[in-house]
Amino acid sequence: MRYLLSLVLLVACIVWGSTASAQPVSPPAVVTGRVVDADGQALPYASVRIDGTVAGAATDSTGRFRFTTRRSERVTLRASMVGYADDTQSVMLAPGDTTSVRFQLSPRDIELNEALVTEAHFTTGTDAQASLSTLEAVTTPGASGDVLRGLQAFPGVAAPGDGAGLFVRGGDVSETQTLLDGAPLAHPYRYESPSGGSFSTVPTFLVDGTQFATGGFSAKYGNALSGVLSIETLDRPQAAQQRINVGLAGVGLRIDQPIVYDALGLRVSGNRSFTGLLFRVNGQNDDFDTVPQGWDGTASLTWDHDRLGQLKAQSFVRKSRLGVQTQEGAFVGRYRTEATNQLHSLHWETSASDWTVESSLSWSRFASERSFGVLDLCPIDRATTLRVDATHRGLPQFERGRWRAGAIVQRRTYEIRGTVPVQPDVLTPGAPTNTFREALTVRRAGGYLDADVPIGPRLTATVGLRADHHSDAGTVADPRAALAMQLGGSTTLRAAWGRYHQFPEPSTLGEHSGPNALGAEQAQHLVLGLQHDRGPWLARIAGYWKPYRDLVVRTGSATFANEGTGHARGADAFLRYGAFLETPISGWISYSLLDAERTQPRDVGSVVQLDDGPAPFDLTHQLSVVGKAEVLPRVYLGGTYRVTSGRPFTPVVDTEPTASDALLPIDGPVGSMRLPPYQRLDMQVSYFWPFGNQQHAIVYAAINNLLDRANATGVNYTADYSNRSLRTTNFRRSFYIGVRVQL
Amino acid sequence: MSRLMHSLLLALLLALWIPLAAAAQPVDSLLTQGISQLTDGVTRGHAPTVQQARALFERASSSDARPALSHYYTALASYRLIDLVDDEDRSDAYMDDAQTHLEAALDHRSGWAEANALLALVYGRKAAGGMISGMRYGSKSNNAIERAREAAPNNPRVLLAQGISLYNTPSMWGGDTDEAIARLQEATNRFANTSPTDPLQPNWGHADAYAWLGIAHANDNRPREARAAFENALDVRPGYGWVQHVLMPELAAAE
Repeated sequence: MRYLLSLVLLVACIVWGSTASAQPVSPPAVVTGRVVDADGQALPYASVRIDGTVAGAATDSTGRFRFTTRRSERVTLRASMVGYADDTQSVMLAPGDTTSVRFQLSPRDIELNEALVTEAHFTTGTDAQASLSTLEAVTTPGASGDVLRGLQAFPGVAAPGDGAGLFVRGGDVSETQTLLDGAPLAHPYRYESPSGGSFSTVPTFLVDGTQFATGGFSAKYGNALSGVLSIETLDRPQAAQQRINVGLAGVGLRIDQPIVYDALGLRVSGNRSFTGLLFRVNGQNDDFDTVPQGWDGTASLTWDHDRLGQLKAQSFVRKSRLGVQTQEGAFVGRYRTEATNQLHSLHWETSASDWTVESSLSWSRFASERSFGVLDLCPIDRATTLRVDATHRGLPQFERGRWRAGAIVQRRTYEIRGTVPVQPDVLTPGAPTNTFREALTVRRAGGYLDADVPIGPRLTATVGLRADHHSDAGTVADPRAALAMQLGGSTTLRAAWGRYHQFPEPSTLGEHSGPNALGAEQAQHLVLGLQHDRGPWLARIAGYWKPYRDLVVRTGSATFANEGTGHARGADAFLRYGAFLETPISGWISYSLLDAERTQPRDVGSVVQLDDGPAPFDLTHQLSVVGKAEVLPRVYLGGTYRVTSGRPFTPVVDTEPTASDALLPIDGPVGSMRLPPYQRLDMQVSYFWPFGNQQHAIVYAAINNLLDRANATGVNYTADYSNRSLRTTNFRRSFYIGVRVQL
Repeated sequence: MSRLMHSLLLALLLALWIPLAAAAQPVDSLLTQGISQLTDGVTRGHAPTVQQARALFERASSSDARPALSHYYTALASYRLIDLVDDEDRSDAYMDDAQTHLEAALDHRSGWAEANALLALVYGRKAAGGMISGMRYGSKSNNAIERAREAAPNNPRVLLAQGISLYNTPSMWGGDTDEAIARLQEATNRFANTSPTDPLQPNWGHADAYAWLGIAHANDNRPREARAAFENALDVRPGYGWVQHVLMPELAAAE
């Protein structure tokens, strides 16, 4: 009986199981159609299927397909083909009906993203889309292995001297915002100076890649008037590795150590820079009482988790100092500076459903001491920043569509104490000074929303809006839009327009700087560019127009106001061939044409008047030619030649005596004179020696400023301002050698 | 009572299995059909057939049934297409596609030796793109082989991947032709003594192992051994176009 019962149950279950999977009998729906490419040509052997199911078919040699299904509902059909972006369509299926669908697939490389629709966007890194590899940028002769100096070779970036400052399209160096793994880096330069600094504060060989936008960038980026440099650091180390760098100017060590296989890794690095030996070898030690020197240390711990995503904790500390004999106006003296730069950040990247979310929480502190004559300043700049960026891959019916949204909250505290001369140009010991000490805290919050909207198979628009609020400078809203059109497989036409705001630096907002009523500075970008990328060739040309308003200008000895206007307009061209280590010969030519004017203070004795004239970094012509070649097996020779129009300066045309017998300069028209053109040729030779399993050594030697040009960096005056002479560079012809070993 | 419980349990299992089997069946059918087309396409060196096979595998990968296997075969078809298409951009796209699907396969089946071995081959192809690519993907290829070796040291396709990698890696980076020949020889022995029980599981590479063995011998100036290896490849896979129409004529021309 029990067996019978079992048998009955078994049969019942099988029957139930079978019937449960049975479908009602009705005529199937038929789906037919064709898959073509952007030019309307048939795509054979593409896959077409009902999304999320196996129902579908492959196209035949004429791009046609046909399949039947018993589904009777609204479904999403997906067509895919390797090398092309998927296309989807929503259709209603009914029993017995025949539904005809036509798919048009676009090559994957015109899947428009931020990098593409952002006009004048240069990238470095390992990505195939990168304008230059990071290795290529830092091996540019004359770049001294520095990533920022490498970026100066891009068009649209003025390099008005020997420093690393990124002056984008006529803008001041402060108008380019630098982000490190999404966290704002308020002080990206070592040995800071009004023209930026000498080197990047971020160690080069921690850099995985960069995105550098010289205009028309998307709503994702705020508080930047001219450019954005986003630096991504290396990800989790995949294998244990040590890298040692020894050169005339310093030593460095990097250790990569996986801790948990395929999940957790630690990377630490330390560098000690000391230029004494370099200057001694080159006989240029005389000007320094403290040669530029410093050290830095970084540690990053990266955890990749299947579900949580990637979590990266990173700490970075850099100390640097120098003391140099220099001249400013009529005063000759020692300029000393010592700075400590710290950044600690937590970066989290995760995906959920159709969203990818990147968040970063960072804390930074920059403290420095600077003295020159009676000027003695000790500013401390602290910032805590939370940034979140979310990207939605887009709705199925808009396969190329993409949404982005994000927000940033920042609290920044600026403390400063010291003494400043009553008259900015009178630095002589004994000159009247003001002593002050103050602290200022500002808060900034911003958010944005933007989307890529496909208008056709070849045209995509990106529209966005961002809004930012500053506790002292008010609220601003910036609409931005860009269009990218694919002209054939390798040519892209881009246009972008946008409004950009930047809040005043805390140093101009404090009580010592006058009434606290400064608002945001504003610029508009209108850019049109064409790019052709085929094989080893990349050509790019762009024209732009950038009007400014509400610029913060000095209106008194230490007062500021939003009374500046100006414009920058010009054209940039870039032609690249090949890639370093990939082709026997590689190199690029970049040319920039610029016309930039802006309001500037003109000191007329004790009075300051505002005047319009050529911007301080209005370099009319700038040409860079970079070439690298493998001259012998694994021996690479490279050279960079740069020629730039002279930088405008405001001449002192007269003086006004003060009660203390010091002389106050009287300026002529702003920017009415120019320094002589800047020329520089740098050469570099390196030998790449691989050994063992993935280990190598690179021995490199460089001669910078081979022509030994005494390039002018400014002007000096005699004590009574009666005679003017050119101040020339500290970087005459110099020799450098070093070796980097990777174990 | 225990017999009753046993029967009930069996009945319940059957009841659950039938709909599951019904759901898996189309995937199995797609995979079976795809494997057949893939084998045929690779043998004839006929890209459209391999592309059709790839389309079948890609459809199968949309299902929840056998996702690792479906992604694996999609990747394998793309890997084969790297050499069958005559356009460099399309070859690159197939390399990327193979990598993407293998990563998906490994997401579904962590540490799977078959997927890691194939991933090592894909990385190896990418490493051949230049010195920077070599530095970037060479170590990834090595890591993938190590993972495969840890999971299945005697798997013939793991040995095949090792052999190909050792042969193609420059000696300054640790490549070694003699070592490569030893691994490929070992792979051919393993292939000869391996008979898969599940027709859907990976069962390719025997002829490839002979072909690569022949290439290694040929470039080491041992034409007789190379010819023997190519003959063996054709014995294992009659009409293998790559061997018959490319490698053997090249060997004959060199002789």
